[in-house]
Amino acid sequence: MLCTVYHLGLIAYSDAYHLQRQLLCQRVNNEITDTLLLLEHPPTITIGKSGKLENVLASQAQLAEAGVSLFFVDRGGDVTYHCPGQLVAYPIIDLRQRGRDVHQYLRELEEVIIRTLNDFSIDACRDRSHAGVWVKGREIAAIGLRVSKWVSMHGFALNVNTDLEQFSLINLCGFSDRKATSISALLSQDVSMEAVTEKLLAHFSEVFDLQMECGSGILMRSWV
Amino acid sequence: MAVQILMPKLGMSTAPLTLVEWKAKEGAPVEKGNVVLVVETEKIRHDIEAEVSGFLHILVKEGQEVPIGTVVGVIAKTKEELAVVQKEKLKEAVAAKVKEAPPEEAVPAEAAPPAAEAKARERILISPVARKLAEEHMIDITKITGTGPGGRIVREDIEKAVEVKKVEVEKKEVAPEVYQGRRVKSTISLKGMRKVIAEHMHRSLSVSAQLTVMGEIDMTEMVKLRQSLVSQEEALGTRITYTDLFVFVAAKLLREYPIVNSSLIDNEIKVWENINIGVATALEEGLIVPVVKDADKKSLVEISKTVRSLVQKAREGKLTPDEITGGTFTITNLGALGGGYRFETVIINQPESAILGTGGITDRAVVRDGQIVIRPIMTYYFTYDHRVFTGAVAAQFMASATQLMENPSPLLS
Repeated sequence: MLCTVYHLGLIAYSDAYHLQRQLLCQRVNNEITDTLLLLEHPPTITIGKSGKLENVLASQAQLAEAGVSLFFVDRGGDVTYHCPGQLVAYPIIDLRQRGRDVHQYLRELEEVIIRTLNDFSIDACRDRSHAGVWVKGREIAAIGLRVSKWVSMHGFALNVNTDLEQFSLINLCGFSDRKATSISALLSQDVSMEAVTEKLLAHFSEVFDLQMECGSGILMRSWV
Repeated sequence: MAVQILMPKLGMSTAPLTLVEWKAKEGAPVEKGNVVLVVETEKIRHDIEAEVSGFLHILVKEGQEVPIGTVVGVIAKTKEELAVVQKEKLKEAVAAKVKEAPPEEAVPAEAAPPAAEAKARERILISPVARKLAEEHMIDITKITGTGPGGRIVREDIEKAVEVKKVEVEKKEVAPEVYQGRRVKSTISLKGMRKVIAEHMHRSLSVSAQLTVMGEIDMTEMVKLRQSLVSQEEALGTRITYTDLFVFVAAKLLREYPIVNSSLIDNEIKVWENINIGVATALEEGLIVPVVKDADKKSLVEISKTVRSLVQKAREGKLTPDEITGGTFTITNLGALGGGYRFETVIINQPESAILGTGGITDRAVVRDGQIVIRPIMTYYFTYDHRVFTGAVAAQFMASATQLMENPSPLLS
């Protein structure tokens, strides 16, 4: 089965969201193949449906001054932070073809990330009570999903060269004692996004048994 | 019989799920296939669709953690049945467990002095309605000034932001910039709809093998037909346009030429059962193609009303994703834009296999029975994907279209 990959570069959260909704519709109608969007966001805090504003530790003025955006999002999970240096992946996958098992899907996404990190000699693990990928008690990848008509959207964010200081703006995932980490922090050196992306794509293909094909530009019909 | 809504199993896990949101109120009508309930587990939000149409009776409220298999609601088929279930005390299959909200952080034994309290960080305040609206329209909260008490963001603040978003036009004025010997007058960044159109058009051409058949149609009979329909505007309840007629004609033809109503996806040609015709609509910012679903099952009047409503919504920026997806064929009536007698090439709207463009209707001198006469002539441009069907099929399709429009009596039956 085919999966079309789009590298979107730096794209605003709201733009990526509208694109995902469009693609989800098309995937539900079988007009397109499974799709994977790879991108980065400008500094953005997102709050899931069950997320609380108390977990945003800065005031509106402080965020505006720092150039950080804030969106409420219809995904699972609490508060998270996105910024350049973080590899964001939004798979639009038809779960009707995968046994309609959303838990299995979540575990598979975690698996893709864990295997990718292994390639960089980072030993990462899951926390059964809390979706995401952790290294020594710190979160290196956050996951939040939404499944509509059995097609997934949103996905995960893997900290590659992320500025971890900025995470102090929030209580990560709603916990005041959880901290974030990144590949470059753990290895004490910068790692290129391209290198991580390459490994990620290979593991994504393996775990989901999909043939990855690069899409040229953004495929979509006109959208408002 | 009322139909139960059960907490579903979303895979191998047997962990309870959180009932996050009912999408309809108690007693409200719900339609089969529409999302009626949202549940959450781990970090996944999952939509649950109504299995039947009817009226919703809620048994378990929002915010509760519920084991799989619990009956959380019921859809009554009729209002009478709804009244019955609302009175009944249905015994729950398993008692729903209520999950306590996480305990508030312990307050230190010594109360902090009032001065310190006053220095507590300013939180972002937003009403639940405003939050929901902001989420719906993806509004960046940091750009909103709250006009409610204490700077609280309220519904009106979000509504205003939504309006502003629609009106926004990106145009960067650059100080005299010179690019390869040419002075820049202005720079328009390729974003939003403009970027999408650019990408889509380019991709369409690079992916498919597009060729265009062009010709003319004698519109004498169509003009008469349309005039007669326009004179019946009141009785019909709508003013029939040429675009409406083209959609109607195309829908009939696509039934006879199913290969034209298809898509090449993943190395397979999917011949579509539905005939969903997109109507290319010019907007100030560009172009959008709302779709008339199942056009072959609609009468001319129904098509006309649908097209009118879609074009109106397009101009107001109110089209839903459902209204701009699922097309199997597109019509672009360029004649509506004026400009006289001409031929154009038109681009296929992926992943369709063909598009029909029509020009303006102009009086031309033509030969009939050895005589030169004046007839209202319309040019057409039919672009097709040669990977899906050949020029011979394209020519036959347009020959049938021409025949039907020059002798429209079969349309009136």
